[in-house]
Amino acid sequence: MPFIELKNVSFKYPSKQAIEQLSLSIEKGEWVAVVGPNGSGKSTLAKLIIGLLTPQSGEIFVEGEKLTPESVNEVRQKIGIIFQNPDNQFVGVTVRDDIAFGLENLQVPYQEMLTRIDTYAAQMKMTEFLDKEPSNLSGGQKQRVAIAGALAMQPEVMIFDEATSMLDPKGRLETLQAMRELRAQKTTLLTITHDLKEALQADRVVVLNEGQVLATGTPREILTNIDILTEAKLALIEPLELLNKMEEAGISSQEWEAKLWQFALTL
Amino acid sequence: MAIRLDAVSHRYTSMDGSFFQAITDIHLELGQQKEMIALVGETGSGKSTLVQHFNALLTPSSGTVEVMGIKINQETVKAKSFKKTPIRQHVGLVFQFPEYQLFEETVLKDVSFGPKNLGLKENEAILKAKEALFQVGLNETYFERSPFQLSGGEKKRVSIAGILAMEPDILILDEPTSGLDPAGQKALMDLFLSIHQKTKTTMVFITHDMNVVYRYAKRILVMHQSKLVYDGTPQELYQMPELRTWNLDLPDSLKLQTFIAQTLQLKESLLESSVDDLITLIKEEGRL
Amino acid sequence: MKNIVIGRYIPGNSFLYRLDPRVKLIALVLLFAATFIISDIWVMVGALGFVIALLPIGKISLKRVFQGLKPLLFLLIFTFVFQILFNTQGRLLIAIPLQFNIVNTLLAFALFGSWLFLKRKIKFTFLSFLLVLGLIVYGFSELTMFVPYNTSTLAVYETGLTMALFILLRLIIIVTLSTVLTISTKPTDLNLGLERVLKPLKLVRVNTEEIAMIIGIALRYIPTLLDEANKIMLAQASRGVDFQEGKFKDKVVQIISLLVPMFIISFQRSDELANAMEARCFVPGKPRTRLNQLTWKPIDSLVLGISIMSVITSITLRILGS
Repeated sequence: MPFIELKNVSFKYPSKQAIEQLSLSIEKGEWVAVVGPNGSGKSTLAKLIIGLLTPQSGEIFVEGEKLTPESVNEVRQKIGIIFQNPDNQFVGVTVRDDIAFGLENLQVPYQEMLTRIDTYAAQMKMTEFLDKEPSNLSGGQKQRVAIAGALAMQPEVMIFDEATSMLDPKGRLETLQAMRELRAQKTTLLTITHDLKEALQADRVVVLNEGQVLATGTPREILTNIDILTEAKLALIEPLELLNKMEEAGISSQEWEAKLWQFALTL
Repeated sequence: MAIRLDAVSHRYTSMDGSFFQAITDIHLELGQQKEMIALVGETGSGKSTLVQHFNALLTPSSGTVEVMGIKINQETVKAKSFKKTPIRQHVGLVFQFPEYQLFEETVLKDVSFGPKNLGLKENEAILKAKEALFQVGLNETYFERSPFQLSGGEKKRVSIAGILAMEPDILILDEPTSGLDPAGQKALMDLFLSIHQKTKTTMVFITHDMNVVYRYAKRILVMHQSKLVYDGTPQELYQMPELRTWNLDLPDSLKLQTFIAQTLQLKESLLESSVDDLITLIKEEGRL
Repeated sequence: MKNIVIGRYIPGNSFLYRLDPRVKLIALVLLFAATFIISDIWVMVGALGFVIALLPIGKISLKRVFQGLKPLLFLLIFTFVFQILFNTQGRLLIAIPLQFNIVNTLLAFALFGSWLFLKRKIKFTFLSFLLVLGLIVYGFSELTMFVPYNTSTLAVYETGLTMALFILLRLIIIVTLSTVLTISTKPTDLNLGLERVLKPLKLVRVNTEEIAMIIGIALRYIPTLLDEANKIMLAQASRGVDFQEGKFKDKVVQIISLLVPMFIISFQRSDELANAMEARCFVPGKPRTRLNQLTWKPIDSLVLGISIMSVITSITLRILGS
């Protein structure tokens, strides 16, 4: 049974269609990257999965349970989500208050709350900042607080909705590193991005265009496929462009391919 | 002389009376060469504070800024005759988020706001606005639309047109491509390049993206911990050992070139090689 | 902005800082009540002495508190002068005959006008104001060689003076105590204390927790929104808006050019924030556990006890006095 499953989901904003007849499933332990240009429906997809929006037609299942107004709160406990703007998801006055926010909502007992705050602040390397206010933190640090706050609720899947797009290079690397660590702990990840270097890290890439799945496959299948990328207004990243051209010129080898791929992951 | 900064420092006073030194002793000249200039540096290094001195949004705590012959310092701004609007006409500053400035009912009205503030009559201002909108690639079909119903990229273009309509000699752009997808980023940067080539406007853009710097900048300014630590060509910057301490990355193209050079165990650097150059090189050298 | 001390927390460490915010709020209300019950001027002086003695014990600088009083100085003087002039009960203390003529009237205007002009440039604004006031009174009483158009008497009566002093002292005590509260209590703690103190209102269906949540989020976002407002101003200034100049019609457009972006950005922000809160399982009205716990310490009982005692004492003294 897939962990998250969308069946023929459609969603329309008053002014435009955002998601059309979309079906998608995510297995437990998998890292899926959803890529696509702005306006392709990526963020709408995330909001549908976590029940912030309700599809006009189609069904969404999380661990086999159908997402309905009644089940939405139970489903949300299984999913942590990090949004794009680090400032607009910081609820607490201090880091400690913010990590506690979700726990307070889940009615976690006081002592347990203290332990969890310590554990997840340490995991995100934010222990020394626990009493700091958001205005004293960088964008990357705020995103790490958001991740700690989500993790403290012990979800089974984490969604990153363009979580790196408003950060500077340092903040971006910090957040990517956090994703890799979660990956190492076998957390199911769904990352939504237009940064193909981020998508490269995933197990599976889903290309979204105009509210529909244009293609899905391994990063190797998708991110070197110029036809798919062009249709979704995305561009090849340079090492893969080189790899493609080497193949055309007939000078590629398995060794080169492995090396360039390894290199691409460091970008 | 376009903009000249002479020993400019700025410090902010916070609510509890403590000081924060945002920029320290900056000497800088720009605008004579009509270049595309990139301004880079980590968050909090003083980039935004620096550019807000270029159009007199901030007055230096010490030192003097000179814009088109007008001196701006603690003494001169006190004079009754000191007017900031002409400076802001010469030097246009586009903020990072278009939401900071869009407020009118229609795109055309919004873009004509700037020219009207400069004292132009309604019809002249509208004319300037139309020109500016065409310049940023928005045609008549956009004129009567509400700026709030446009996509992120379109809003950005309207906000840029709002400044271009004031016909500045120097255009400053604070993180112009943030929040756009790769196609949107490229389209916008290409647009700046073409405006620059047509109108010979000096452009300064703040960015975090070294790939953008690599492709578009002829000159680069680096801010680090409130100081201007580098002012020169990007090519020289890429060779500098201090790059790491300034927390700057190399552009992907250069990283790839370095990687290929290392893999092929070449001695010479491959600076400025395109992917096609690399292919040729690998063909010659490339049996691993 | 910098001079507004009321409502600003200043980090520190003393028993006042460690007090339970609930106790601080209740004590404040009780002590306010006491100042309204006290009817003897000497008891009031004693109360002020008590409040002032509290400052060094609580490690709160007198200067900070004085800064808090400063914006209210003219209100204090006004009520004081008003009471002195219009209360005509009791023994007559001083009577200065005044004559109003063209010369001393003009002189009074000139003096007051030059004080208004100079007050930004000189130190000791308050002292110089008193000096100017004295000179004006002197002018009206002594420069009587010209033809008067009116005469009057500046009369100060005993009850008037006592009442004026009384109100002055009461206002000083109230402002000082409020300043002490806000200086020594974090806004979040204050909010939490308020939530708990107002809990009985739940009986009349006021959702105190939600109100506290709203205040808490407002506190969190005030710095962000101030920053945003500043950036909007700079962005519009870059489009040639000169906020210092312009005709009335221009001013209206200028203000709209600030308000519309502010409104739209705040709206976007609150929409995203609401999403983030909901995604973290926040359901309005649903019970929550709380990280910030209030713990009742012996000192809290002591302070509460002292506050109750001061109310009882002031009642007793009032009954004995009358």
